[in-house]
Amino acid sequence: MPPSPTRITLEVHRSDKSRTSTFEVPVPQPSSRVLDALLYVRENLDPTLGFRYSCRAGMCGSCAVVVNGKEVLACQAAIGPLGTDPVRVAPLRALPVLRDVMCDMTPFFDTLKRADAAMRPKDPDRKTLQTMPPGDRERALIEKQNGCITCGACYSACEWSATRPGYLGPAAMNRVLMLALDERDATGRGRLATVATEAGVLRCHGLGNCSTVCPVDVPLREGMQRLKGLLATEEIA
Amino acid sequence: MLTDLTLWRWQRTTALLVLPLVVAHVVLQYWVFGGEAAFDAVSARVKGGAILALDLVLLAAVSAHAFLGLRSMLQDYARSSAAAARITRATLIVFVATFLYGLAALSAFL
Repeated sequence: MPPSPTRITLEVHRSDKSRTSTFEVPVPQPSSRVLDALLYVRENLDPTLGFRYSCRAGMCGSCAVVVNGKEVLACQAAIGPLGTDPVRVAPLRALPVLRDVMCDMTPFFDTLKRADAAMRPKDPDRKTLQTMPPGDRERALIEKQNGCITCGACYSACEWSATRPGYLGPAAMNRVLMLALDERDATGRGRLATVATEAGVLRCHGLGNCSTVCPVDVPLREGMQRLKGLLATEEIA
Repeated sequence: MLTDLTLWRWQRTTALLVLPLVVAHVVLQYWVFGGEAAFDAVSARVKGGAILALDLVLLAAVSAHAFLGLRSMLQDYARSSAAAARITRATLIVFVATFLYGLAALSAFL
């Protein structure tokens, strides 16, 4: 790991001042996180700084921001390996800013609703979902696409989400793919019609920004290709 | 009805068709017929039937694929469903015009 300066300049986008604010922030270790720096600012320099976080373990997806132009989880992005001074922090793209680097996630979660991306178990009376043991063929079909923490990083990095109103975005379409391949779901491939449009996977150029920024390494671009493969062969209602 | 999905499927299908057809065309013209391009020689080959059928399918596949690809690129700039529909109509008209022009060019050899 490269040596870290003891202090860095943190440039943070501010929503209320239409400019960035710069803060001198101590970096005790190269592995200190961007979230640590943001917390330092709020606790010591500017209590009005707006950002969101929760688990601090890369599991909840709350703290997704754009650091030096790339979407990351602030709690997972170590400052040392970034190798830049200043470190620039901006809000996610394609989403309305609530305050500073904290976004309104509603448009992102709306994509999941519009894609009808909720599981409907084949047996609605079951209290829990049927388990899929490791090595199971059906589990292997969806395992790689699993694990999305709905942080919105892919939505922010996708060239279409910001520029094309109504575009579903990678997370919602990945969810549709998972449900199409999950034999426990009652709707299954009947949901493919929601993505078989110019607002869906047909418009995806396969640039792969979504996969590049996904903090949990879901192969989203490959998922889009699998989805296109299904659309090429399946009967779409 | 020409939905987005239908046109996208046609783009894939024509892509799959174009590759072997172009290879067959090149092999026939340069190796089988030795590059003989005099009008009478070409006319005799086209009148044979099989070459005419190959050329017709190639013409249709290449024209369709080209204009479906153009439509797909132009759709990147469509900011409304009405604009997207206009782009689809315009590119389909240009496809038909190109195909008819190709038919007219082929018919000169018959």
